[in-house]
Amino acid sequence: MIESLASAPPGLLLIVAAIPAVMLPHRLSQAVMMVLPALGLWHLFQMPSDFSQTLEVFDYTLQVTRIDALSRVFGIVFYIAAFLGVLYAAHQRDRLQAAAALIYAGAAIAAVFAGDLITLFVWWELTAISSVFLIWASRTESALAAGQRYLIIQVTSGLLLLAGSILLYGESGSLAFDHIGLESASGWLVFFAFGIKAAFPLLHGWMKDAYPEATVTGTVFLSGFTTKLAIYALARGFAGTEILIPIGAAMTVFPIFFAVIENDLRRVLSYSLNNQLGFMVVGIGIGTELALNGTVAHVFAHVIYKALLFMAMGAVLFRTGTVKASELGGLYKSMPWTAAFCIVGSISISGFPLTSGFISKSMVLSAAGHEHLVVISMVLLFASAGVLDHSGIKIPFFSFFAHDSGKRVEEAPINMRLAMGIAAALCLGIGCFPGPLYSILPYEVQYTPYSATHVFTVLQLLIFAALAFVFLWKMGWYPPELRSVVLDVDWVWRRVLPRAWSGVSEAWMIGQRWLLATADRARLGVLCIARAHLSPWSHFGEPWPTGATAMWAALLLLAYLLLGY
Amino acid sequence: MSDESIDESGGQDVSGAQGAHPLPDEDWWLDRPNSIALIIKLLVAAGVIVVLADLSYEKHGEFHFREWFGFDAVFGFAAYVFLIVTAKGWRKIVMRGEDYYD
Repeated sequence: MIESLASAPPGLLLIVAAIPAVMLPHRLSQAVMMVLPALGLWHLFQMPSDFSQTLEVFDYTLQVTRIDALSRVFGIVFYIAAFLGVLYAAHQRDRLQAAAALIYAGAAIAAVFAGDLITLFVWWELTAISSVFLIWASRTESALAAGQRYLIIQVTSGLLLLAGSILLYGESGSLAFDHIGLESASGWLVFFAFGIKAAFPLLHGWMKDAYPEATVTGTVFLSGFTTKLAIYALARGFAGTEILIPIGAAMTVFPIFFAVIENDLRRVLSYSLNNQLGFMVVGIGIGTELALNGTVAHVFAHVIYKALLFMAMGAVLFRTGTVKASELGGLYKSMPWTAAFCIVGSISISGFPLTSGFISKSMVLSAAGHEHLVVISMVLLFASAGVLDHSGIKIPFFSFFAHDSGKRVEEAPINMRLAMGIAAALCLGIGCFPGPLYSILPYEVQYTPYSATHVFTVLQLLIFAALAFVFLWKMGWYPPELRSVVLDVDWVWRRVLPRAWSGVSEAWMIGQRWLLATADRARLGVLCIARAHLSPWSHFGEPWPTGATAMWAALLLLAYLLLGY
Repeated sequence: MSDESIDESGGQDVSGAQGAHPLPDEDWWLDRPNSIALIIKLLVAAGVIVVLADLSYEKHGEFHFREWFGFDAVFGFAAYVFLIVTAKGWRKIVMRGEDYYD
């Protein structure tokens, strides 16, 4: 019993214990929920670094647990994210949300340890179904609608994965989740399934649509798992697939233009998340050991600083009731701790030296340089300056500084501050001492982030981008924050398709009416003709003379005779 | 920080963007114009230092142009300005009223 418990798939504990845990009295429940990820992490550390557990289902052997260097590091950071999320949400008395969050985290963890495609599919869909409750828990009409759109897209991703897996099984006779590649149509199906969750360009609409609609605490969970699970899956199945390089580069660039003009700061962070995923996708596409190490290190750093930024904006939303940049400003006066933690998150995502973003992103940039990808390197460098704008400057500046909105609120609750504090400490700790993170990366690390060239070029880029902000702001050229909606690809299914559908159904109605009217007219016409020729007083209707009838009969018989020969 | 005029609102209600002013009995260091000027001066000084630092070590760029003196400084400034100016133009195409989807 104890043995089978010890070898249970990581993550399963969170799923199984979620509902009993939320049924307990509030304080006890919060304590148990915080212990669960800690226990899970401890359990993962206890397990051998190479471990496999299979399960026989009908004639198939499913590898429900596969621990190796790649899955292990994702498992570790997912457990950390789950712990931070639970701590951040500890003030909340919403059992539905708490249970959904734990099941979601558990499913994501179990998914990265799935050794075969069917097990992956099961957890993949469970992350979709459990996470939608974090959106619906906002209990607003727009959240309900956004959640429905989110669920349809997420489940579609799962179905593509299932279809691809079945076809792959037909081709190779194996369900193992290893390198897949794009050699066959089934590979493309799986690639699209992963691409939807990884928010590839044009497949990204669900994220900027749904994440900002989730609850204050829900978005913190959402930011951690779904997309990084997709990054893991891409790294496992499509490492070195070259098409990922331009896809990732596009992901780093396009969202930053939207992030500049978006007013909802949690939506800005969603665009920023999309941009960060781009760096990881480029790393996977390059596929060298340095690039994959960089990708995984970037996932680790990113999960923490992105959660931190969403936590800070969540705290602002929690206290002021809004995260619209146009309505905020001057909050450092009443939320100094939140402001300070937010700034740590901002400098980390921007990649300043001594922060986690610096030691991870520079690996991906170096990997692109080592492969002599000049254009891609410059695109990533441009995107890095863009990150400084939307996450480094815009997020803290417009909420905590800029024009004083006159809002005076309470500081964030203590549990939120604790969660943000731990996340901020991790950002700085990883940045100052990258050794422990480097030691758990999938390949051996021979990389020195703190070289004079790296430090000074990064500082030049960031400080001069910041000076450009000062310049534009002073000149009054920086775009002001406006109450607005920014159209993106989700416009297609929120506006164009519904309009087109109503257009089509209207055309169908008109067409149907026209068809009926025409049929009616044709019927009348036929009746008229028939009446004219076949009625008793018409040509055919009047009695024929006997001679004419005999002649017609003779002619018919003659024709018959001729045909007979 | 000056209250800038908003000329590209497209006739929307933008009163929220103007914001209120600090409460009268408060005196915050960051609200004083001198403080902002000091921060900007420090930022400029930091910029000068990190560019001059290029003279003090041997640059190892992956591409030869990345080893030019102050390349990243110029690139960072230009990239940022390009991003903001382009995004402002982009806004004219994709920005709609807050209740667009309602």
